[in-house]
Formats: sequence, C-alpha cells, structure tokens
Amino acid sequence: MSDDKNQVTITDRILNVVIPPIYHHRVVTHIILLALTVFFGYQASQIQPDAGFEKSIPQQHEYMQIRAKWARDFGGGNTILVSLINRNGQDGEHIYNEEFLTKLSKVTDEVFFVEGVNRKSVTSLFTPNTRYIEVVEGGLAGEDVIPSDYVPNEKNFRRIRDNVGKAQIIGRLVTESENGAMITAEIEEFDPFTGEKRDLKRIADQLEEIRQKYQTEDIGIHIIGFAKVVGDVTDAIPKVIGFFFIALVFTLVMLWMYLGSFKLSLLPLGSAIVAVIWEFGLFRFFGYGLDPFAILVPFLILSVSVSHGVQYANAWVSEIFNDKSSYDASLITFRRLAIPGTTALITDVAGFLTILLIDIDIIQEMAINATLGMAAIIVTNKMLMPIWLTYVSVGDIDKFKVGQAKREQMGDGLWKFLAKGTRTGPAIVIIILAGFAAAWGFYKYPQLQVGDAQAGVPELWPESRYNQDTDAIVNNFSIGADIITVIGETQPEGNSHYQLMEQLDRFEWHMRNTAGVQSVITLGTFAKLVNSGFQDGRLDAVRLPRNSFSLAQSTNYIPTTSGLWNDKRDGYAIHIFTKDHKAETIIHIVDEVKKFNAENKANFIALKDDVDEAYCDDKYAAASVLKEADDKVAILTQARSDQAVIDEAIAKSKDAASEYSQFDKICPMNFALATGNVGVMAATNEVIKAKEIVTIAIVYVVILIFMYLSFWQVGGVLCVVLPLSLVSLTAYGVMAELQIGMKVATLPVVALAVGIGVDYGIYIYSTIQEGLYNGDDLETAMYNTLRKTGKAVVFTGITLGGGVITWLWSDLKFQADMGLMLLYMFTANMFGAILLLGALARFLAKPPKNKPAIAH
Amino acid sequence: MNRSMHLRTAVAGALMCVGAGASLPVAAEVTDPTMVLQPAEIMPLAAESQLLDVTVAGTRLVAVGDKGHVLTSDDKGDTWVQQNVPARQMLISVDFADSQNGWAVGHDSIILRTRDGGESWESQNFDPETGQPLYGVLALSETDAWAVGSFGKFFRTTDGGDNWEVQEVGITEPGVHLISITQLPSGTLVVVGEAGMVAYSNDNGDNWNLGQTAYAGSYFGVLPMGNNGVMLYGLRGTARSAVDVSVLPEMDPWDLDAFSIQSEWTDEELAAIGYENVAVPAATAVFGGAITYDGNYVMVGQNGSLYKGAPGKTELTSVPSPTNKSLNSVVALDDRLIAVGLSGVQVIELQ
Repeated sequence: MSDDKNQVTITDRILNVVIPPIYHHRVVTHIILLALTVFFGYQASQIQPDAGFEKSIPQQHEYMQIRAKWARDFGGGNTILVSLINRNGQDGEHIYNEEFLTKLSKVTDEVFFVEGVNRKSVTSLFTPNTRYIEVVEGGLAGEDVIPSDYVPNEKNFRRIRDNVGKAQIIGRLVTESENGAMITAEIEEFDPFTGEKRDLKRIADQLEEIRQKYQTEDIGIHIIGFAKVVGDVTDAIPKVIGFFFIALVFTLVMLWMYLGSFKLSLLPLGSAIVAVIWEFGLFRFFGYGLDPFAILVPFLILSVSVSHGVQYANAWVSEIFNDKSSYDASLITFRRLAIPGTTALITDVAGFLTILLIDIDIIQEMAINATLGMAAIIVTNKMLMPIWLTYVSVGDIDKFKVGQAKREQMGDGLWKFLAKGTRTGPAIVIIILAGFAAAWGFYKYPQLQVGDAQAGVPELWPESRYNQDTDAIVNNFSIGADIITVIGETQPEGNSHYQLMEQLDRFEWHMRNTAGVQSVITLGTFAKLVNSGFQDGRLDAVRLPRNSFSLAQSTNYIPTTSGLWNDKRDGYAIHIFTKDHKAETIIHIVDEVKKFNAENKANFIALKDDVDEAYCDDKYAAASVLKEADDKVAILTQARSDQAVIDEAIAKSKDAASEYSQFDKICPMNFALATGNVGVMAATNEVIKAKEIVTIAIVYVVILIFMYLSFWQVGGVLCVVLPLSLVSLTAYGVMAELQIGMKVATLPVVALAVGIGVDYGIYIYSTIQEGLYNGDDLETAMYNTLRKTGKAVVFTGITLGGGVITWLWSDLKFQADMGLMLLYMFTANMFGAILLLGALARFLAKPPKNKPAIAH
Repeated sequence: MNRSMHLRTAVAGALMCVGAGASLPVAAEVTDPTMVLQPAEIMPLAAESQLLDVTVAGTRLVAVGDKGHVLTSDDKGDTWVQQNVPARQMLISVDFADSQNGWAVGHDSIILRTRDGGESWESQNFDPETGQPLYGVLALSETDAWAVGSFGKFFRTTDGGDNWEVQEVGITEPGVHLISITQLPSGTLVVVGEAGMVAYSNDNGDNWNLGQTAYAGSYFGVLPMGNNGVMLYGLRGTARSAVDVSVLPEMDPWDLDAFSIQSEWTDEELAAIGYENVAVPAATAVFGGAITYDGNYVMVGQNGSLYKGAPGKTELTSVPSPTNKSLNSVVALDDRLIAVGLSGVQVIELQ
C-alpha cells in the first residue's frame, strides 16, 4: 500500500531531521539542555504549595453556581468545627464548670482571630448569636445563653445549663450528654477586600496551635474542616518525599543489577530525575503551585521515564554486546526506539490532555502537570539520554559481555516457556482466562463507587488524628460533619407569607423523612419555637402561624447571623445533616430534593389561579438578575471602586428592582441545590460520573489512532489495545473490590496509568513485527522479543511496582490507595504485554508488508 | 354525594352553624394554596413527628399531630400506622366515644370525624380564613360531641357532626382561649383554659358555672379525681386539685383577665374548702396526664418531664423520662404509658 511507503519515508525523514542536532552537534545540544535543566531546577525550587477548597470544586456545575450565587449570604461550605469534649464525660462530668467554660470562651476568642475566619460566622455558646427564647407568664423573654453579667459561680453554671436546654442547641453547640461544646466558623478562602488567596496550611497550623495550647488530659480538643485536612496532608509531605527517595534508591539498585554497571544504571535514573525537575520547573514557569493532592504526578513521571530509559539502555547494551562503539550503539538504538518511544509518549500526552475535559481545576492542573512532565520525558529520554550514552563506556568490555551473557542466560528458560504462549492451544487458554477477567471487570464495574465510601475524609486513614476527631464529633453531636445545604429561593420578605413558609416547613419534613438524613434545620425549626413562646409555650403552637404579622414576628426573632436566612429575607437555608457521604446516600438525597421541588412547584401552581408556570419562570429569572445586580453593587462598594462605576451598578440594580417589582404575585419557593461539603461532593460526583466514561473513551480513541499510525494494521492495534483495556476494566473491578471510590484523587490514576501500558505494548509489538518481517515464525519472534524487550518490560514492571509498594505505608490513605492501584496497573500491564499480547498475536498479528520502523 | 349536599344546605340555611362547606371557595380565585383542604401526606417518620394527643378507642390507640398526622396502633404502641386524612392541618386533640366513633380537631378550626375506629376520616369543618385553632374535643356518643378553641370558640353537635352549633354561653363571652373539655365520672362537663379558667356544667352543657381558681396562668387540662373531683394542670409547674369541682367559688366571666386577675379568695381559704396546691418538681409546664391502672396518675410536660402522683397527695414525684423533648399527652394501658410530644411517640414501661 502506498500509505505504508509514505510511512516509512516519513519515519526516515523525521529521523534525518532530528539526528543531526542530537548526534552531530551533541556538545552544543548537551550544554543547552543542561542550561535549561539548571533554569528549571531554579524554577522548581521556587514552587509554592497551593492547596485550595475552591479549585477542587466543579465551579461550572449548576449546584456550584447556586453555591456561588448565595455564597455572600450563606458561605461556601468551607467550615471548620472545633469541639471541646470533657473526656470524663462518661462519669457525668459536664461542661458547666469554671475550667471548661473558661477554656471554651478562650478557644472561641482564638478561633475568632484565626486568619481567614469569617468573624461573623463564628458560633459557640460564647458568641452573641447564641440566644434562647423563654416563655414567661404573659409573654416571651430572650437572652444570650451565657448571661451578659456572667461570672463563674455555681448559680450561673445552673443558669447556663437551663439556658442551653431552652436554646435548643443540645446536639449542635453542646454534645448530647452535655459533656462537650462546639465552635463553628466559616473560612473565607479569598480575602474579600484584596481577593488574595489565604494559605490554608497556615490556618491549619494556627488551629493546631490552639489545640496544643488548650488541650489537657481532661479536656480533649477535636478539629475538623477542609483547612485542617490540607494541613494534615501537607504535614505528611516530607514523608511522601521520603518515599520518593526510597523509590529512587530501589530503582537504582534494581537498574544496577539489571544493567550490570553502576555507571550505566545512573543514566535512566538520572534522565528520569531531570524529567521531574523539568516537570516542576515548567509547572512553576506556567504559574502553578504544588498541590498536596497532586503528589502522584511526579511519581508517575519518574516511572514512565524509567520505563523508557530502561528500554533504551537495554537496547544500547545489546548493541555493545554486538561490538558496537558507544556512539554507534546509541545511534542505532535511537533509530530503533526514538519513533516508537516518542509515539508512546505523545499518546500519553494526548491521553492526559483529555482529562482536561473534567471541569474541576485541580484535575485539570494534574492533567497539565502530567502533560508537561511527558513533554519533559521526550526531551530527556530522546535527547539527553542518547547523548549521554555516546559518552558512556562500560569499562572492561569483555568482562561486561561475560556478565551480560550470564544475565541473558538466566532468563532464557523463562522466555522460552513464555514464548510457548503464542502456540494456538496455550493462546486460547490465555485468551479465555482474559475473557473471564474481563467478565469479572464488567460484573464489578457497577459496584464501583463514585465519590467516597468511608466516614471522615478518605485522604487520611480511619485511625488518623483527623478521622478520629471526626468520629468524636459525629458520635457526640447530632449534627455530624456532613451537610448539604439547599437554598429556598423566594421573594424578599418571604417570611411574612404563610404560603411560602409552609413550603419551607413541608420541605424540611420531607427531607427529615429521606433515607440517609440525620437531621434538618431551617428557619422554621426555630421560628416555630418562638411562636410557641408567644403562646404560653404550648406544643400546639410549635408551628408557623398563618397570620402574616405573627409569622413575621416569630421569624424575625431569628437573627440572619444564624445562617438560616439572609438580610433581604429572600433566601432560606435548609441545612440537611447526612448520616454519611457515600455516593448512593448523596444521590438519593439529591433526587428527593429535586422530586420535592418539581412536585411542590407543579402542585402549587396548579392550585393557584393567579399564576402559571411561565409567569413564575419569568419571576425567578427577574429575581436572579436583581440578585446579581445587587451583589455587584455590594462587591464594588466593598472594594471601594470608582464612584462612577458604583453608581452605574446602582442604576442597574434599580432597573432590575423595578423590573422585579412588577411580579407581585406569589410563586412557589424554589429549592435549589446546593452548598455545604456534601453539596460540593454531589456536584463533584456528578461531574466525574458524567465525564469519567467519556474521558477514558477519548483516551482510548487517541491510543487507537496513534497505534494505527504506528502499525498500519488493525491486528497490531488490537494486540496492544485489548490487553490495555482489559487492565483498565479490571482496575475498576479492583477499585470496587477494595472500596476505593472514583473521585478527584483516583480518576487521574486510571487515565494516567494507561500510559505505562501503552509503552509496554508498543515496544513489545514493534519487536515482534521486526521478527516477523525478518521471516521468523511467531514463537521465535516472541522468544526474541522477550529476550530483548520483554526482559526490560518485566524489569520495569517489577521495579516500578516495587517502587510504589512503600506507598502502602504512607500516612495519607489516598496515596496508599493510589499506590495499590499503580502496583496493580504496573504489574497487570506487564502480564498483559508479555502473555496476552502474544496470545492475541497468534490470531491477529501479520508480518508487516514493509520494513517496520524499528527493523534494522 | 348526598352528604356534602346536605352539609352545604345546612351551612347556607343556619347562620348559627359552621359546616364542612363553610370555606369551600365559591368560584373565588385561589391565591393561596394553603387555603385549600389538602390530604395529609403519608410519611415514614410520622410516628416520630410532633404529636399532640393520644387516646384510646376500644383496644386501639389513636394519636394525632402536626401536618394532619393520624396514627393508630393495635399493639399498645409498639407499631403505628399512619391513616389517610383529608386535611394536613395540625391536629391538636382527638377523642372517641367508643371503639368506632371519634373526632379530631385542630388548626384552621378543622374538625374531622371517623366512624371506623380512625381508619378513615371526613372533614366536618374547615375555616382557614380566620386561621384559628380548636384545642379540645370531647366525644360523648355516636351523635354527641363538643369542641373548644381559641378566643372562646365553643361548638356542640347532637347529630354526629352534620351540624356544629356555636355555643354562646357566659364563659365564651370574654374570648379567652378554651383549651380542654372533659367529662367527669359524675357526668359533669369541665372546660379549662386561659387565665386560670375552670368552668363546669352539671346539666349536660346547658348551663355553665365559672369557678375562681386564684390563678392567672393557663390551665392545659384536667384529670378526673374520684366522682366529681378534678386535678388541674398548666403553665410553669402549676397543678391544683379540688375534691369536688363545684366547691370552687363562682365568679363572673367578665372578671377573667390574664393580667390583672384578683382573686377574692386567698390560697389558704381555698385550701380550706378543698382546692389545694399540688407541688410539681420543676417550674415547667405540665401539658397532659392520665389515670393509671392502680388508681394513681401520671403527668407529662415540658422538656420531657414525667411525674407520678396519688389521689390525696399534695406533691408529684419525678419519674425518669425517656426523652428531654416536651411531651403533650399521655394514656395508660395496663402497665405501660404511651406518651406523645415534640418528637413523636414514647412508650414507657411502668415499674
């Protein structure tokens, strides 16, 4: 075919272009590359840690749009919970004593002054937004739970105890058994005035200092929240870097044993380290920071680079064995491996770029990071490594050859045995076994969790301090750490309309009845108690009154600082505390919210004669426009912008207001998802679920295209891609089996680790083709391939697998999970390439019509 | 349907009656869906919802509460079934004349009637316009029943609820809330309410006497003590007993005033005639009570308080309570108590 001819000429043409600068001008090229390495090394040393809540959120998702819309009123779910629990609580030791209350007061003050804490949001017994309402004969009395004239004495302790009961805060601000108390606060990740990003690690450190300062043997302090997770993950990074070095040393020792020369073994490792330096340097150069959740990327770069480097060194050694000079050996190896190697790397790059489709900043950062790393590998492996090899001598060449022959001998029996796998009978057996594995993967795939399966945060081990703290809080308070906040959107002063508040109340009840929900808090929860207070405290008055005046009176008792509604009274937060944050729990709750909202809307409009759906849709739209305009005014005013700009915004807001005021008829409350940490998870899970299949599909399409361009035959493509897809599929099964959820941290692993498999497949199949072209039968071709390339694949599989084993002992559970998955991907791909690929070749491989790229 | 036709005619015909059709919109534009009678939603946690009253109908327990919840239990409170009800108004009181015939009343002056032991209900009155509640109901027979409510609302039916006649008697004139109505073993009817009000009728409700109680707070209910005696309970740990309700000195209804009441009688003088203060362990409201199998009684109230007392004793003692959420009503079945309140049903085994 003419295409084949073209391909060969293209290959030659490419080689003719790239060989001169690398080989003929190797000194200049080398100096330039080293200079760049120094430059990127400097850049890399300047890299700043950069962890963020906001960037782990799919900002474009509809839920997160709602979150952003109401963030000024209700925060964004980036909360911290600090709880003080009397450890002797089982013995009846409660919080109403001087030591505890003084400590609680001091810790509240300290939390108040932690950098980035939204001061308005701080809530504890000692903050003025914690009040109780009491029925007295002939009326109602309200007071701060901690009396303003508080001095520590028995009388006041009794009073506070009574007040706590009256304020209905047991379970939220005080533990169920009244032996502990809670302080909650919202973190503003960006300074509202300067827009500057807060360092979450520093916030975590300040919180830890508070713990160290106030924790005693009797009173334990438990701190949870995203900022604290970032702190704990960051604290574990030195150990992670330690693992990195262990992996390096392990790899070096393995390379030394494998290549039989210490000097030689430094080369693949050295080029891999240079690749990582370039990766960090480039990443910093393009303005990114180091996210602790993205620590797997450098490992992956190192692994892929070593994999390619070993192939290269391996081939070079073979040429030395054939009595070639270092320079010639390098050049021949380059001619053989540069094109397939680069093809594999470009395939990886294209694959990683598809991860950009997932609209979550941190995942996109990982994709960019990995892409830059792959680009760096192309340079270090296909330019630096060949140049280095021209300079290397193995010393006593005869001694080296003897050692080399011995090592070759060692595996010979194994290679002969494995090559038999290409015979028809064994091949069928292998393919059937692979079929079973695939069936298992298909069977397991539906069980794969999207999102997190375990309590606490999955980044850390269940027995980590953080997750222990989570347990302590979940077990002692009724609210728990998992919350999804739905916003009831309605018209300003909605609290004076019973028909609106009744929907809020009914929604609360529906959510309370939803499986997976622990408790629900709304404005109504408290307004009902106030209403009852106005009426002798009777339980039949624990309800929202129909009378507009009474309703407004009861609701207005609840301050907007409660986080239950906003100043304009057009937004009502429904805080739904969930029993856990498993994906299925979240999906169910989200579905129920949507179902209620749709049914409520339809029912409400059907019963009302004065509005229809179109009217209400217009009203909602006008409300959104008005809110946006108002927010703009607030932001500009806060930022002290130019007066003219502010005036223009005010004018716009006035227009929007007059437009909105035409809609004077009441429409159903719109229950909009969502904020809170579980709200964020809901959005993230949906994005990942929607994009996961697409992403992997595109990765494979890219691989298919590049494989076809490499081999120009469908059989060859299948031989490489089928084992690869089997590994991907069974990897899902492994994840399901080990209860590792598909999430921000793990999705890239699956996509990125495909890259390793591509390398194996390309190198092996290319070498088989080479043998077939030279007239060998398949088994002989396979045997030769295993001796040359397969050996390196097995070595790489074992070495990389061994390198990540240490991860299993990481302080970070997500690193251990990734390690486990990478271990699986590395070794499974190895078996796929040396066994399944050969078996498939029995039925699919054909000798190439033209000289393959790597034939010589 | 014949019945509703009949009801509507009744409403149109008699000004003194309120009927099921009282607020049926006559082609009026609906601008507020909550003004329309809508069926209660059947929900899994109804037995844990805010329940306000529980009563016995034969061997069955019937509890009512928030959002039109009506629950029945045939196993002494272990399991509950939510019944279909045509209204989702909060129901405050329920009473049965026998195992089949009962009424429930609540907010928006809703009156519901059952003839099959609480399995199906029809609405006999619904008045969302004024939005005022009926607090108490007393079912005397298949045909006779009473209902009391806010601002002196006082209804009576003698035809099974087809017509509910407004009672205009002395005690309704000042417009104080009438909270509960009970029949004593002697046949005397007793109504208690706001401003320490205790009224009784010895002639099946034709004439009512108002007693002085030297108390300005609200009475929430009454327990019969002996043939014609009462145990009254109410706001802020108030409980008083009278050996006979008729010993209370009479007073003029127009003297009822929650803020400035001046009793002509002192506590000591009242005690001398058999109206005594009963000490309650905590100064929190007592909302409900029940006579137990041994002739003693229990009371429940705010913050889950649970007390027991015995006739003749002038103090209640605390009993460990399974909840710290307010309880509103209690019944005794053999050796167990079934109480309802803010967080639904509580079953308490008596020691």
